[in-house]
This record gives sequence, structure tokens and C-alpha cells, in this order.
Amino acid sequence: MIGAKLIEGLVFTLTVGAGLFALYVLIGLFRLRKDQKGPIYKGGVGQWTWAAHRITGVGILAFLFGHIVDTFAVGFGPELYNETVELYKQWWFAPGEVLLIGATIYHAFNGVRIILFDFWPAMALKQKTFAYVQIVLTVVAFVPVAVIMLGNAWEHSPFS
Amino acid sequence: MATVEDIYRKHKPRAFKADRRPSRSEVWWWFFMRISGIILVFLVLIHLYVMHLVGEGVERVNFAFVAERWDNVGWKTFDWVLLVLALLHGSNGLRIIIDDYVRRDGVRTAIKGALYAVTTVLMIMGTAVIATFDPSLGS
Repeated sequence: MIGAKLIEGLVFTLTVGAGLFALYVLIGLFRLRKDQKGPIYKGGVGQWTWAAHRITGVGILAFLFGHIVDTFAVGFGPELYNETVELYKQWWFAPGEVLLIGATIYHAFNGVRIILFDFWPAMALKQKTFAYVQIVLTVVAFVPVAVIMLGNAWEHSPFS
Repeated sequence: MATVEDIYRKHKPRAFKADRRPSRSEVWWWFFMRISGIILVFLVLIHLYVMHLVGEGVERVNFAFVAERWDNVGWKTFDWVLLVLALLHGSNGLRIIIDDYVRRDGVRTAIKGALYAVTTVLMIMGTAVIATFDPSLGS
């Protein structure tokens, strides 16, 4: 159905756009580090968590745009909707799905860290420690989720 | 109580040379990002748990699944609140990123205008599909 193909194309376009944005931010940061011309950011864990917060935020928003459109398809009945969500059930989509969950967990934990600094500002003096704690928490939360989801995807893939 | 600004003024004085103050609406958007962020942590993690981890994850999502879920007004409300908060939080974040990276005034205004238009259209689409969903289409 043409509608499902259009939504699929939109999801791909948004994904590529988010990927290009990630490249743009990272290249900018590496150039900044090389030239030492930046006003504030000269590396360190604070800068990388900031960049990752931006990149994951744009990635999640790109998917949200596509996800609202694919959910809109449910208003046109089962034929269109079932074909549209078929995209997310393809075996090759599973790594993207896991990445999306990882980005969301990271963005949530990093966001909570920023909010803590805003409401208890003295914590900001220990920002490096908090950044490392947050990265560890993100990994601890993400690894079991990734294992469960990739295991699920493997069982449904044509390879198992 | 010392604010973040006080601490940064003391330890990073160079960052404050321009000494610009944010507008009133900007302060409200700053506040909205924190409040919506805290609420979204719970809403999004519940959404991801229910849709991607329980049972067979996205494998089981189809028209019948949505029809059964949206038969419950609680899940309809949950999904609508998630839609509104996530879309506003995300679009406002992207607005700030556009302000950071797009330096030319005309181009920046055009891109931000497009963002507001897309956000409005998506907000209407998402609200409409939740409000007018008709499960009898499946029978």
C-alpha cells in the first residue's frame, strides 16, 4: 500500500537526518578540540555528556515525529496500520530499536542529573563524579534491556 | 542558597563576560523542560516497558492490539499526555539547538517557522487519532 511505503520513507529520512546531525555535532567538537578556539568547551566528560544529550535528544525526536505519523495510520483501519507497523517487526530494525531504547535511557538519566544540579546547585561542583555515576547507571540499566530485546529479535529472525 | 549561576560565576568567570539575561518566556520554557522532563522519565519508561519488553515486544503490536488498549480511557489519557509532553519537550529542545547552530537570521527564522508548523500539525494529528479512534474499523 502506498501510504505504508510513504510512512516507511519518512521514518528512514528522519533517521538519516538525525544521523547527519550527530555527525555535525561530533565533527564540530573534534575541530574545537583541535583548534582550541572554543569559548567554554575544551573536552572532558561534561562536554561529551552534553553532546550525547543533544544527539540522543534529536534522535528520539526524529523517531517521535515518525511515530506520531505511523500511529495516525491506525485511524484508517487495520489494513494500512498493520502494513505500516510491519516495518518495526523486520529483523534488521531490531538494532535500531535497541539503540532508540538506549538513547532514551541515557537522555532520561542525564536529564535527571541536570535537574539535580539545577535544584541543588552545590552538586555541580562535583559534576565529573556525577557524570561518571550516571554513565555507569545508564549502562547497568541498558545492558539487561538490550539482552532481552536482542534475544527476542533473534528468536523472530530468519537466522534462528 | 547559592544558585548554579553563582557557583559558575565564581568558578568560571570567563563564561559570563557577555552577561546576557534570558527573557521571561525563556525562563518559563526552561522551567517547562525540567517539569516535563521529570514527568516524561516515568511516562516514557512505562511506555517502553509495556510496548517493547513485556510479552513479545513490538511483535504483538497491530490494529487489534491498539483497539484493545484504547478501549481503556486510562491508556488513551496516558498516550495523549505522553504525546503532548514529549512533542513540546522535543520541539523546544530542537528550537534551542537551532538557535545554537543556525547563525543567519533569515535562515534561522525560516527553520524555526517550519519546526513550529510541523509541531502543530503533528499535535493535531496525534490528538485527532486518539480522540476519534473507531475500533469498529477492524471488524
